[in-house]
Amino acid sequence: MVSSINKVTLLLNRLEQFVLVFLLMVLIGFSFSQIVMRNLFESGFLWGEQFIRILVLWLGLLGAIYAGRENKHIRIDLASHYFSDAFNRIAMIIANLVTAVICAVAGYYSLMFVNDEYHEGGLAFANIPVWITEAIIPFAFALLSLRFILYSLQQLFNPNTGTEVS
Amino acid sequence: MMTLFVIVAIMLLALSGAPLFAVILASSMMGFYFSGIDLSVIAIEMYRLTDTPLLVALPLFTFAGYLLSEGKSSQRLLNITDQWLHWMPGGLAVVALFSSAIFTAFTGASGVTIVALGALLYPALLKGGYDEKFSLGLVTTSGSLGLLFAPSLPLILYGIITQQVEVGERFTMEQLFIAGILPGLLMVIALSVFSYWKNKDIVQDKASFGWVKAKQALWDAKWEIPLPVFILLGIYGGVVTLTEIAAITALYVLIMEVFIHKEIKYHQVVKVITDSMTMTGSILLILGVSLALTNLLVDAEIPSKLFEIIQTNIHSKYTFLFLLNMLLLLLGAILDIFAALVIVVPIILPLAVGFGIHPIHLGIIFLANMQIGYLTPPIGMNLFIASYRFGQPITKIYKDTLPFMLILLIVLALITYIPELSLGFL
Repeated sequence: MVSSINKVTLLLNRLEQFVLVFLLMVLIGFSFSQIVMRNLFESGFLWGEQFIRILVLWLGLLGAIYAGRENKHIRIDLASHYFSDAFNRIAMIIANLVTAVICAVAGYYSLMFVNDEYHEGGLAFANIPVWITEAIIPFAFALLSLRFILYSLQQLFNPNTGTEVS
Repeated sequence: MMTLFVIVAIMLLALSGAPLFAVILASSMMGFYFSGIDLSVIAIEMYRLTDTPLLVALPLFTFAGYLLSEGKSSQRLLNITDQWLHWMPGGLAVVALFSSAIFTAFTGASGVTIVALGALLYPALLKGGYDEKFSLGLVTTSGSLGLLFAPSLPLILYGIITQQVEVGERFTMEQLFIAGILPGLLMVIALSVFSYWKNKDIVQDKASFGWVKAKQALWDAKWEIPLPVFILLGIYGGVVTLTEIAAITALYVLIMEVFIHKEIKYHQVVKVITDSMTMTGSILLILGVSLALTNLLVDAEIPSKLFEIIQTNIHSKYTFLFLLNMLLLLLGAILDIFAALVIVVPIILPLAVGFGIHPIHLGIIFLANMQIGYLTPPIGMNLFIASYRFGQPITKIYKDTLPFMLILLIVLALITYIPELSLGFL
């Protein structure tokens, strides 16, 4: 059971890595081809600029999800220098739970927004409807919410793992 | 009463170690909730990131910087400066300062300079007969030198944020890049002069300069050298846009490290990509949620109210600048640089503009403060990284870094009160 869960986690991790690598390569390759086309052939895709910006949003939010996995989100973390480990642990569990709630709320309202956009129609670029490009926002908040629930559970039951914050 | 409770709760959340994006997100959602605005505005604000033209420079330059710090480019850079500058008194110290500044410009002051370059420089300095205290202070200080040089990430981020706030004179990213050159050089030169004066008695091995070796060092770095030249020419020349420079840089560095030097294997590329996108992602998320908060603050006219309050107490631009420096130094010591940029710039930009300070000048002052903040006890980040990396007690690092910090403070005063240093080219 445990090993199959581990396998799934590993597979998901690979998938996340693959998507990040793929999108960054698309971003670099597409930007570069736009430069070549603009300067050598005086052409290029009219929607290229918009496509690139949406790509950056996706890349950024997927990176943010990955940062959640790696526990690398920037924290101010002032108090931990002055209190005991036990106190910090409890504070961390609460902070992570509250973060999960905040993400869930933001995710819910973002989903409502995307839903509205779906009914309104509208195109982002080329033939891509705008709601698809926006769908990454609720998706990211939902996954981040899950991630922070996992963290607090982890810290609650197994305090020695996942508490490292650099 | 309710508002006060919410503010205290959010502050406690921040202090207990919740991620910064969640703190900002909570603040803006509370703000929208109390002003009776539907919370789906959060998603609208996040999506507004796609209206930011220069945003694409962020992932591309971050990726290039991470790649560069993974390969052996730092060693080649060090070798060039070493071969060419070693003969002069205090030469190695000057080498350390210049190579660190260039390296940090590419990698951002994420501490990687101390880890990658400092680890090479510190033993070299000791071997070269430099005082241990001096060497430690120098290496720690070098870790954030170069923040003012293009294409440093904090500089780009400042440009992006001010574009969104839309207060004061408009300026281009290229202008911001040029503005950083003189103040940045002034810092490097001031520290170099200090290093020379401190170490002029160290006997130099005159024979160490040789044309053959010097040329070899240049030749070894033949693939790296075009990079800063290209970026500078691109920014000055105006033929290519900044976005294009970023794309070309990322592609060039990728090809160089993986196919020419072969120093980074394919599986390492995956790690570099996930690491750099993790960094990009956490910044972008903070940027997105703070767009909402900034709008909220502007709608509530907080900056202009703040300006009125301050104006009744402070009349002179110079007093304002002095207090600004104090505040920023403090923030630089306790806040992450990206956090400080995102939270503080939208609030102080309108104030500074109200006092007649040019947004470009404010940016240079801001980053110069942040750079020194990295060295400010008790919790400047460079101090911790150096303490960890070189296995020295933190209190010793405080003491050894102090003289360097004082010099940087003098330069900061010059940068602050002589705006021509930043704006002379306009």
